[in-house]
Amino acid sequence: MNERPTFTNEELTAFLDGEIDESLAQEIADALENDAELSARLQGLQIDSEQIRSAFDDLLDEAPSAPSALENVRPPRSFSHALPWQALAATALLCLFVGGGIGYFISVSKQETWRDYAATYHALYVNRTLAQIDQNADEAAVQLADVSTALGKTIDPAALSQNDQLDYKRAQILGFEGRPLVQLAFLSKLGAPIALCIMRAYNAADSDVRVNEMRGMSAASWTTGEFDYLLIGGSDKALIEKAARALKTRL
Amino acid sequence: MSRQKNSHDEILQGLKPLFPRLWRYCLVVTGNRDRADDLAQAACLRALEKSAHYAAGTRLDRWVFQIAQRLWLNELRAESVRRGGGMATVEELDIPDGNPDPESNLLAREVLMSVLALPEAQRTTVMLVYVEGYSYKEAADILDIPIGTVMSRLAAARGKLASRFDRKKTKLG
Repeated sequence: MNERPTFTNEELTAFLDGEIDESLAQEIADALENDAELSARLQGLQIDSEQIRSAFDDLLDEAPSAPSALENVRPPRSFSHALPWQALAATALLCLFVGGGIGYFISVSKQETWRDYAATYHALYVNRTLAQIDQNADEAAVQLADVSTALGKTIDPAALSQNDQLDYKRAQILGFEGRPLVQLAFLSKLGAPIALCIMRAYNAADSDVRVNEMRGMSAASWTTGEFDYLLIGGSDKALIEKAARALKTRL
Repeated sequence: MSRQKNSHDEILQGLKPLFPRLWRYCLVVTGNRDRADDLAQAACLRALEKSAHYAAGTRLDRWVFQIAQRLWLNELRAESVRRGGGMATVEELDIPDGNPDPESNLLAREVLMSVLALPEAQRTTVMLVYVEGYSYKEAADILDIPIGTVMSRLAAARGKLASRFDRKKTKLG
C-alpha cells in the first residue's frame, strides 16, 4: 500500500496563488491527476481573484480627497512647470496623444500597474482621435519598424491588418516608469477606438487571454514570450475576446 | 531620466496619488467609512512625521500600508472599540453604479459584501494579496506576521468565499 502525501489547505492555497516552489507544485499537480478527493478539496478553495480585484476597484472612486496637507504639492522635477498637478497631467497627456510617435515619460503613481495606466489614458480616446488618420502602407511600415525597435519585438504590419473587425490606424511609443509601452490604435466597425498595448515582461510566464472590464471598457490581457499585452476599448466583450485570441497567435 | 529626491519630498508627492488605495485599504481594515477616513488621514500624517525612516526610492505604498496597519492595531482600534459602533454594511458604503449591466453590478456587490464579511485578519490579508496584488512575503512584511500566517488566513478566506459562491450557484442552479 503506497503512502499518499497529504497536502494542507495552506499548501493548496499557495499552489493556487503560484507561491509555491516548483517541486511541491509538481507533486500537487501529479497528485491531482489521480486523487479525486484532493481535486474536490482544491475546488473548495477556488475563488475568482480577478473578480474580487475588479469589485474592489470600484471602491477607489469612492475615496474622499486626500488631506489638504498634500494639496499644492510641487510637481516632480522632470517637468519644471508651476502648474498645479491636474493641469500638468492634462498638458502632458495632450503632448502624448497629439505629438505622435515620440515617447514622453509621464509621471504617474508608481503603484498603478501599466495596464491600469494604459486603460486610464485610453478612456480619453474618442472616435475623432483616430478617425482622421489615414496612413499609406509605407508610412505604416516605417512607423511600425520604429516601434518594433523600441519595444524589442518585430511587429508585422500584416498581423495588424488581417482582422476585418478592426481597422488599424497607427502606432505610438509611450512610456511607463521609464520603459517603452507600445500602443497600436484601431477603430472598430462601429467606430470605437481600440488599443493594443504591449510591454516587455521579463521572466513572465505565458498566460491565456483573460477578458474583463477596465475603466468601463472591455479589455483582454495576456502574456506571450516575455511580452505583456492589453487589448482595450469599446463595450463589445465578444469582439475584444475574439480579436485578442487572433492577435495572440499572430504576433 | 532620474530624479534625486529626499524622502520627505517623495512621500509628500507620492501620498496624493496613493490616497485612494490607502483609503480603500483602511476601509477594509476598519470596516467603517468614518474610521477609514480617520485612519487614512492619520497614516498620511504619521508617514510624513516618520519620513526619516523611509528610504527614498523604495516602495512607498508598502511602507504607508504598514504604517496604517500598525496605527490601527496599536492605537486606533482599541479606541474605536471603546467608542462603539459596528461595521458598515455594503449598502451604507454606497457603492456607485459604475457598471451598466445590472447583473454584473449585483455580482460585484455580492463579491464585495462577502469579502467585507470575513473576519478582520482574513479580509485584510485578502485585500493585500488578491486586490493589491502583493506577494505573500510582501503582505507578511506589511502585516508584521509570518508568511505561514498569511497562508492560513488566505486558505481560511478562500474556503469561506468559495463555499459562499458555490452555495449561491446551487441555489440558482
